Amino acid sequence: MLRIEHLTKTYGEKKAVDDLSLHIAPGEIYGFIGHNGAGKTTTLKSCCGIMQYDSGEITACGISVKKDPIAAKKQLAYLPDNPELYEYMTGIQFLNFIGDIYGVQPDERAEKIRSLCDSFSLTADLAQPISAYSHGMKQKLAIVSAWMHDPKLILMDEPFVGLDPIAAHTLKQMMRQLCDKGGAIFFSTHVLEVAEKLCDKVAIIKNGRLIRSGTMDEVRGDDSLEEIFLELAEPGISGGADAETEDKK
Amino acid sequence: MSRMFKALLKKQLMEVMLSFTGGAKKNGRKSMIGYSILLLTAFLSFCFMFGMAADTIYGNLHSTGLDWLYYSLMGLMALMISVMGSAFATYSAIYKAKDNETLLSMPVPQWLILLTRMCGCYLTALIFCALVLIPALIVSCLEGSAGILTIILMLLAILLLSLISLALSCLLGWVIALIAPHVRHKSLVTTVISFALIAGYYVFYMRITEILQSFVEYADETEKAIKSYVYPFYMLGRGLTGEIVPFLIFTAISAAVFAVVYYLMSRSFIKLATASEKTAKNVYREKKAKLSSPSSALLRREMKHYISSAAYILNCSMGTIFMIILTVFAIIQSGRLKGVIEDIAEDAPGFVGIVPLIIGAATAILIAYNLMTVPSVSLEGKSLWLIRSLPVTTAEILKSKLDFHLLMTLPFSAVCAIVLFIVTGSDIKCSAAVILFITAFNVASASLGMILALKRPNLNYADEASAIKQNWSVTVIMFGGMIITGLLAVLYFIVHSFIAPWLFALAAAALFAGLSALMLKWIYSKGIEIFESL
Repeated sequence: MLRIEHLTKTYGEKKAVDDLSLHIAPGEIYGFIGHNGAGKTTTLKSCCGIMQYDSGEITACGISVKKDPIAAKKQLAYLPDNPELYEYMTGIQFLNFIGDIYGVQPDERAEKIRSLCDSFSLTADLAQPISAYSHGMKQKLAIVSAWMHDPKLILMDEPFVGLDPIAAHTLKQMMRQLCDKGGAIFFSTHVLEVAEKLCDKVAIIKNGRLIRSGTMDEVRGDDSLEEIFLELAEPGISGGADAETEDKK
Repeated sequence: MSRMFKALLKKQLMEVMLSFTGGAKKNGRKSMIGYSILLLTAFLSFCFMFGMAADTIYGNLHSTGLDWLYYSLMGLMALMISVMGSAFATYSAIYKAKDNETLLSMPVPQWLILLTRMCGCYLTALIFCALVLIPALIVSCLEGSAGILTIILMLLAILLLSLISLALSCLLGWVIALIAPHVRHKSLVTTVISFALIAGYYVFYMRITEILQSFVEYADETEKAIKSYVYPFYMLGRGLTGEIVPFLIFTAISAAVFAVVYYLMSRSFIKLATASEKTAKNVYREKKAKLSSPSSALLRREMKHYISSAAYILNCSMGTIFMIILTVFAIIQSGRLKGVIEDIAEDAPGFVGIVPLIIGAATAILIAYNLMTVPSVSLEGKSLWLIRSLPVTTAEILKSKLDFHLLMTLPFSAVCAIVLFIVTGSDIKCSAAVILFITAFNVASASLGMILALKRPNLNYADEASAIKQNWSVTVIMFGGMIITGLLAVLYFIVHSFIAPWLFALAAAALFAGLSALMLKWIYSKGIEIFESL
């Protein structure tokens, strides 16, 4: 579903992402963890065509993000960590705008908006301008807009930040449902418990380099994900796994 | 406390500089030099415009010994221009700054935050006051009536008057902040109020000679009226003629006005700066949507952004507003307009032939007052990620911005010109050529705005108004339009004996079509690269 091959992205002298390769198969919820500034957001933005990268290749649903970005973008949806939406639109205007861009048919659109907004208790606020929304409401609206066109692949950057527990639970259910239908989700998170419970696979990135990836059992072994992460990110903090162990995959 | 004040002031000045330069500084020394030259040119052009007005007023009043009235009137004009120019910007800068909550969460006294924000606004007020009062001083110096004392006092008066202007625009900003949370169609109300102020200024400006004559005729009554209604300006006028006591009174009044306004604002700053703009809750009723193409969805997005922002409407579509006024004026005053042309044609028979060219030039100047494309890239701001993540090409995004500009300019300019052609009974062939020129000029103007938008984006603005009013790009388009039109007029007077007016208009249309093609080529190649790398 998503293939990242030898992705490299530099900002001036600094390598934000260094030769990163990762394959995400249909049906997988893939967690992406790493310390602040590790290169998670850069990787996600490169995957959805927002950011141009220096070398490597990314394909979404078999379509090259670099060579045919429009076709690739039609297959996916992206949710940033802080969704700044169009504050001059109302919620419904925004969803209709997204619907028009993705060509979602009116009947299907109405049904999607109704069911998705109801699950996030957002329907009553759809006529309000987005400028009047709280951070959590904007996050919910962004999630609805991401799910609206039935994407096969969803890329999310810290999707649970700002969501109330009910909305977070709803989102987890939606993620699982999408993957059960053959879709895939690649998301970054700092909440290791969420990654541990929700993800089928996980990748750990440090200073732009992928240092471990695989199924949850492969990555953590007998330790908790937190112990593994601490050891890999800051060798010496935890007495657990071997530091800098390369991906076994 | 002084360390805190210095740090806040530095931040504020950086924001003011960024809003003026739009990142020229970071683009290197050459860019800064170019920008400085341009800013100076704009400043001098405005000075020249106000200098002409000052000269008219001075000529009328000095001969009758009413020098004090000259200074009073120029002071009033400076205040009016300054308040008009900065009231809404003051509201945005003080109450809508994005970092208000961050600063309020820090151990910084709220009065200090307010004071530093006001210092930034003071700079804007100072520039506007100087635009009017420096030419006023030059005129009185050239006429020989201003001595060293007047020069020193005038420079002090600029500083003091800016303080009153700051106080009044802050007061207006404060009133707007009080009303804003309760107003439903805020951008519409703001636009209407601002437009009324601008219209009032133009009516005053158009009737200035008449007003001055009545001032001279009824000098005693005028003095009494100014003394009663605008006493500080009576004192200012007297002071600038060399009377120290009135000047000291004016100084005291300026300081007092500022102190009162500052006190009032500081009492409610936190409440208003953090006020929610929620009005009555709109009830959502499900309606069946129609499927639109991505290109019309993008165009609607541009339109929605435009109508949601009074600053966007007022700063970027003055040309359209003036075109509508001119069209209505031409219809109402058609007989008078025709009469004027016939009168001129009696003395200069060739004049009738160039009327379409004059109409074309006037329309071109108004077209250059429309600046929708200029802030369009900056206005993507922090939501740029959204449009970049959607399955639309960058070319489509840029095209929607150009299309919106043309939609708001081309039909209005064409209708305005056609009405003027009909009213003045212009030659059809020449009129058709001028319409082609207007069309090409529209595309060129929109494209130039787009290029500047791509060259000078400011995605990290503290308030939207600063992104809209940004930098020198606005000056380039506005003055560029006037300069180009002036150059075309000069060119026509050089070649008019060899070329028919319609042919000249056609050549100008071809020239601008060619320029537009070159600019569009740049936008759809280099411009796309720039947008994608933002």
